[in-house]
Amino acid sequence: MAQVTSRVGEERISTDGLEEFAAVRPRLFGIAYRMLGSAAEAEDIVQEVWIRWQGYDRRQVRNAPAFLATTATRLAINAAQSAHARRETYIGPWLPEPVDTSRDPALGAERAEALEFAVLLLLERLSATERAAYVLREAFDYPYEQIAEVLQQSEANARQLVSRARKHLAEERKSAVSAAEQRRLLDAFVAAAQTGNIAHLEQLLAEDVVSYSDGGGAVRASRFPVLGRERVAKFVHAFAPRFWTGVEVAPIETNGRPGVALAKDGAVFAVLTVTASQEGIDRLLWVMNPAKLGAYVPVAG
Amino acid sequence: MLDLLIEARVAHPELVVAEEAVNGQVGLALRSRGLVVAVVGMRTEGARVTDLWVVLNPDKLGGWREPLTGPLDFEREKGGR
Repeated sequence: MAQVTSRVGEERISTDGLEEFAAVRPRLFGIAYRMLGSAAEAEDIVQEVWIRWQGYDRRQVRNAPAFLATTATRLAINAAQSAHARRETYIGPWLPEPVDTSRDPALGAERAEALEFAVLLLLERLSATERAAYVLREAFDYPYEQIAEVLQQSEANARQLVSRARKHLAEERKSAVSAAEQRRLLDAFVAAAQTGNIAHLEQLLAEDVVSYSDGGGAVRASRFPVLGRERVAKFVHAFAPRFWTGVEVAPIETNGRPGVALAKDGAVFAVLTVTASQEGIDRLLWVMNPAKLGAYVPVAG
Repeated sequence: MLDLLIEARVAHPELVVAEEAVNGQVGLALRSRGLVVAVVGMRTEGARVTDLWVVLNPDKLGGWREPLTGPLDFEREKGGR
């Protein structure tokens, strides 16, 4: 802080606030970019912070860097919430806006965390508040006390948010790497379902497995997700005659995930895909909606 | 990917491929007459590339088209979302 008007004695902040702002600008950008995956939107946030900083009674501010970072984070949370709706209608898969990190490898942060494409894509699936907590902790090394203040939450809540975000990311990463293992689990699941072996089915399912059926109202399918290992195993067992008798099973791949197409009399009537973690299959997706099965060619033979 | 790059270079001989720091990782920028037309983010495990993310959306390449501006240059042209 060079431009301090020491004559007045009460002002600890430069008169125009420019210096304080310039000092934390890369940090503000770093926070907003990680939360939004968009350099253009992050730039908008930084400018909005500047405008608010200009309009603010800066003499009231004790800790300018903390104040500015808090403002940026809260604006980014709002922006993330409205960006979510826009990305629902984005044409094709959404990817982050790439940033050149040759000059500043950590992009305004203490650590180069939450910067890789893989992590940004995972962050996109978390709530805006979880994202903020994770970014402030992992990349900017904020103490929980401060994260709590920024998010207007209790310290215990802030810890909870960070740990939940970490857990989500770890789970997503786990299931993302094990395509071969997912295929193995799916094949074993199909075999157990065909023989109607409940014990074997349960062995393959994670404790908190969820089964979703999409019938689109056009065919008979469970309208509600089925939760938990035992229930899912029983559910699959109960539908064994309908699903597996005289049915041809063909391995397919949908959206990079292993699946099977189930066909009867040469017509595909269901596509099953799974996701899995170390604990086993944690999601079963049954697509039975005829409108969504058009792309699947009937199994030959 | 290599095939893709070769194909792209055959179709567009003016294309220049350069290694860049993309989101903290080694990545690529494809330039045509000095203009960035694609940025490729990569993820590697050991010596193998496990993921490639190819960004072609011109709205997302604005940051690669001009030299980085000064810290307070608010006049910087903003791209679309």
